[in-house]
Amino acid sequence: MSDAATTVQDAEQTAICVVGLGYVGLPLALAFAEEGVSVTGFDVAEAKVDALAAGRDPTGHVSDDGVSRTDAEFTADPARIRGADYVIIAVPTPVEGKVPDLSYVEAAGRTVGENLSPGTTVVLESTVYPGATEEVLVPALEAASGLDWGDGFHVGYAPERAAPGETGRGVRDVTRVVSGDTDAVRDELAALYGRVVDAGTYPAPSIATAEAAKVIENVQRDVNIALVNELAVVCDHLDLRTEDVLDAAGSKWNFHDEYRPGLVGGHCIPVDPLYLVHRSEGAGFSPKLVLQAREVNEYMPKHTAEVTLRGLNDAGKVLRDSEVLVLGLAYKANVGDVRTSEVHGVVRGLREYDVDVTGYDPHVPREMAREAFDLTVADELDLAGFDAVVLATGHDEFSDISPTDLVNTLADDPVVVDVPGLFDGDEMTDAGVRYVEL
Amino acid sequence: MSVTRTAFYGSDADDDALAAAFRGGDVPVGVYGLGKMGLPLAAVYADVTGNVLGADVDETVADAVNDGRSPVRGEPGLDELVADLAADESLRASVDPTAVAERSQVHVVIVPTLVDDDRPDTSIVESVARDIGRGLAPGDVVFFESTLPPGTCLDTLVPILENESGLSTGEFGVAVCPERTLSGRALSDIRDGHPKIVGGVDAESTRIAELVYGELVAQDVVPVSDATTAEAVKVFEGVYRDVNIALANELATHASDLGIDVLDAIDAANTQPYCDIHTPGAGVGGHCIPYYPHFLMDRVGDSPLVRTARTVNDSMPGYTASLAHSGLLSAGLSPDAADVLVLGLTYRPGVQEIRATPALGVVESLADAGATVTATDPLVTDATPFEDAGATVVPLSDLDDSYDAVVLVTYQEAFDALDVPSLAPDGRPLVVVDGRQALTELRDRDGVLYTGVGFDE
Repeated sequence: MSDAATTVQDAEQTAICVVGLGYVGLPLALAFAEEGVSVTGFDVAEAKVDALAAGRDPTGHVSDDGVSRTDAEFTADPARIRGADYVIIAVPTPVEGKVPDLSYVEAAGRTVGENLSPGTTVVLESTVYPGATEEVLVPALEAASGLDWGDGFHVGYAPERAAPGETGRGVRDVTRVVSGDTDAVRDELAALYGRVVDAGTYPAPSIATAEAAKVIENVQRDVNIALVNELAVVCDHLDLRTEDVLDAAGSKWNFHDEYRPGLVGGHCIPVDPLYLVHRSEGAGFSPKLVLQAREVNEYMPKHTAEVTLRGLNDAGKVLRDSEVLVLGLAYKANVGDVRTSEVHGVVRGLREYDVDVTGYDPHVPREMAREAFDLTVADELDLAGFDAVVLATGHDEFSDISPTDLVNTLADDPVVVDVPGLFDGDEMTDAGVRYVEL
Repeated sequence: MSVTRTAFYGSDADDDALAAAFRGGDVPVGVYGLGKMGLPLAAVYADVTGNVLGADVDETVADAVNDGRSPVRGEPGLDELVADLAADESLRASVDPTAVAERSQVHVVIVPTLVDDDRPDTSIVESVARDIGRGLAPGDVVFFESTLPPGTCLDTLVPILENESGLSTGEFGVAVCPERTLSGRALSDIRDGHPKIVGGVDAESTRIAELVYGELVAQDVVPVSDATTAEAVKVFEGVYRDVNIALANELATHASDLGIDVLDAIDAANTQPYCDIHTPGAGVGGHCIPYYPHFLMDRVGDSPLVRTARTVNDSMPGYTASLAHSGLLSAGLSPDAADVLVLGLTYRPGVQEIRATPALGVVESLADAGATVTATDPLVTDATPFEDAGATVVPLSDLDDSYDAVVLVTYQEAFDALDVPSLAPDGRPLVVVDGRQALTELRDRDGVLYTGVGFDE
């Protein structure tokens, strides 16, 4: 390890390979290259690699400019993994049904293993359940490389904390938890990541601890969003405005007011709790609270649809003759990703009552949206004639919509269901909109 | 009652004039409930206005206050303040709440709201509302500082005030102004703690509440839309705590399954700015956090996440006792013949309060398992519940070296002087169950079998 430690101190001589060039790997590769580290970015998707090599960013997570200016090299040739001092794996870890799907980690482990130089340290950044680096990645590396863990190579775990679509939460901005199979490896990784993370690194005592830390930080988010979702239902019962209660409660130090009711989509928050559940249930223990939080959040799309249907009913509309415009199809504000969007459930809930649903999302290509949701997708924001608008995802573009716009262009007695609470409820009500906040 | 009062609620006078009248003692204040939260509040009102008559059902409390002695312990500054205020009669006390109501224009209610068999018990606050109603005059205002199930003020308390007084809302004001203080620092929390939330049953009530508290406290006064919102704010804060502690506790009980110290994982996770996982422990006690979830569930039927959180937190004393059980087994000792010492019985360090304390559940579980349970806490004044649960409660000075296991539930300062490993007979291992991460230095100590909530075994 002393050789490797020396190379870390001398960035120009350190070579890293980033495996997986998505919203985690690509910004990381660029950040390391910016610091003078020799970076090879590897991805199995040849079209993506070709675009990157040509100076274009097909992912939308950095920019064409960033990609064309970087010294990082991009390749789909696994042989280029060989020779790196550090191989950093950042591949998706989805769930299949409710079960963690670590097939990408295993596949990456095999590919890296087949091209592993002795002495390399392999770092996993993907979210996994506690124990998975040693139980899943290490065997894949050993089998493919013929090297022994510990003698032939080392592993570390340094979980990504990327927040797509949010500024100030990039790779440099958020403290990086690092861990290694030995203290020396952990210290090296702290030094390595310290080059690109301005917020600093946090050494965890073991890989399993770091794995657990990553999972539970999203578990706490899921639980707290579930809590405000549940409290929103309580406020509905009591005829209170959720926003007012949460704002006032947030004036006390121990009440975090950053959580707001809403649909919980994405690759992390709805998924990570299932990783913990999987690991715990394997050990014969069922985390009741974590599961209950999931259930509450999974109910929210249906609840949104029900609130909309109720609004239409109250307005005296016949459901099967009603037309509803769903604004925002992506899983969160200001991103274009629809794969893990909970808006599916809203659309499904509305269609159960034969409501005619149209979607619109300025961040999602129309074809992609049409295919993903099997939906009529508008190519521009046109409110004309709709009986109800469901604001499902609070893209910035929608904040300009005024109550007057809505009253003048929607059908008579319009219903507006505001999931993220983007609009001013009083203004909406004053203008004559049947306004429902979640 | 021949004194002519300046009208307060509904007065035409401008804010400055009303504030001056309030500060100058022209507006008599009645504070109902002189307990550990009520007395500090009454004292602050008296300090500002010089004209407070407090009401308490307990004659010894009223007498003590009139003698200038604070019956509430452990509140810095309160003894001196009560002595001073009693000396110049700024603060007096009575056991007759209706008499207090008849002479007061601002009525401040700060009596306990409890939970009985998982249902909120608001009978005390209702009874006080009846007393106030009997003395209520037009232009008066009633402030409820007690924590209330959302909707109680409008649905229950206002009708009581109207019935008893024969007045209608509009003639008097009502606002919910929930206390946000912690025992042990009540005076500083009241005067300059969290922003003061006020929500009236009408705009005029909110205005008067803003005005009064603006004179009383240094922190911001935050008006909310209505009384029910103010009630919900307070209850939600408690529920937030309960759920987040439950999450930490649920994760902590995984420590051995995951093979890690969950506390380390929590520390690492909390380096993410948005992440604030709480500290796990032997359970959640006191008169607030364990009760407020019931205030919510009772109003709306079920609230599954909140209910589950309560279940998790309620299970922690039993879980803590089970750590002692397995620790004894791995020490080769039989749990049903073991001598177990429970350290710390109050619901949190530094207070006397034992309401809903997790220590009781720990004692019960250990005694049910057949252990001989000894318990000690220098702050506990009423040992009966623990004795009823099967413990022998002894002073700290009576501890000897006869214990097989020590379970720390609440860490009191006096335990600093305790040499925990010496509590076992020479040559015998001591099982230590650390419910509060307070004895971690014993983890690798020879002769100690250390386990703790959140630690891998």
